[in-house]
Amino acid sequence: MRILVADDHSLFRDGVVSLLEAAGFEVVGQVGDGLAAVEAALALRPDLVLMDITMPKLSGLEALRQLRDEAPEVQVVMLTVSDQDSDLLASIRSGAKGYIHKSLSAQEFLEMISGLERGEAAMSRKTAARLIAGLGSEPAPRLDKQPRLTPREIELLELVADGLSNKAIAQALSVSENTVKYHIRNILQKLEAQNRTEAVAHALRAGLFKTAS
Amino acid sequence: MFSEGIASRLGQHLDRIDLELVDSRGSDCLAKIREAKPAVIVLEVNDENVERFCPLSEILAATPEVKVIRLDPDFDRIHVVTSELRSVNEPADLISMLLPPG
Repeated sequence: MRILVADDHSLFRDGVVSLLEAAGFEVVGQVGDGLAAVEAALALRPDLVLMDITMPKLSGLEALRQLRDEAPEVQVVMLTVSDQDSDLLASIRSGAKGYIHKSLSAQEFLEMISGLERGEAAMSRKTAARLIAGLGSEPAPRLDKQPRLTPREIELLELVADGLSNKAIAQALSVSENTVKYHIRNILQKLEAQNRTEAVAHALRAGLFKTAS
Repeated sequence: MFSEGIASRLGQHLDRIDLELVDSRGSDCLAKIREAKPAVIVLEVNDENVERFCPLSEILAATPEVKVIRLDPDFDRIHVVTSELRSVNEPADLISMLLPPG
């Protein structure tokens, strides 16, 4: 996985680069502001940009939005100290594939980056809970206007809600991992969700299924 | 993550740095520092565990000749704290420490 690191705190950025390289990831560049992040991402086309939110010249959120429009194939994960739900929600709505808090341990951080390659969202369970709570507090979408999910898609989404990876879901449903990815793409499209966590939140809010608890 | 990143970077210079990692989350943090007898200690300013288990005052008391480097990732600052321990035989010794030689 080719990674670009964007953070205006050089000490922190250097440490993150060192951790990633030691874990075998290829760091193709590192920049210190949002504008440079967009320019570098467009030039280098990394698989992943690790993006701080508060940066000079252009905020990480704005850089994320520009990249979503200009290079949608580049995944962006926010790497931040922000505990604000508004930053979390705005990031996911703008297309971030994850939201990693800088206070996490190196092991947790690297596991989340590895998880991206398996189609997992890069965020802790605690952050996912905050996201679901945040999305859940918003007005429910009009059900009569929402595309219906097939029973199979609902079944699969329930397994996503249980925290299963694509591989585990494939095993549980006795289908290939590619089939799972295909279904998930369809679900995201139908629910107009940016990622799996948002799809689960939409489905819960719409009453398509209920959690076990 | 920050401290581990710095340790990872320092780990690339093991030919010149004898690196020892001490977990600030443990109550034995200070004992381990004392045991390691470091010349330099690198700390993260924002690490609440440092304040709890091995505050600067206790580090300096345990290792009076150490140089402490406090890293502040939020402001990209490095605060270097140097320490030396001297014995005082009479009050004039204190004055001589305060005033420049001359």
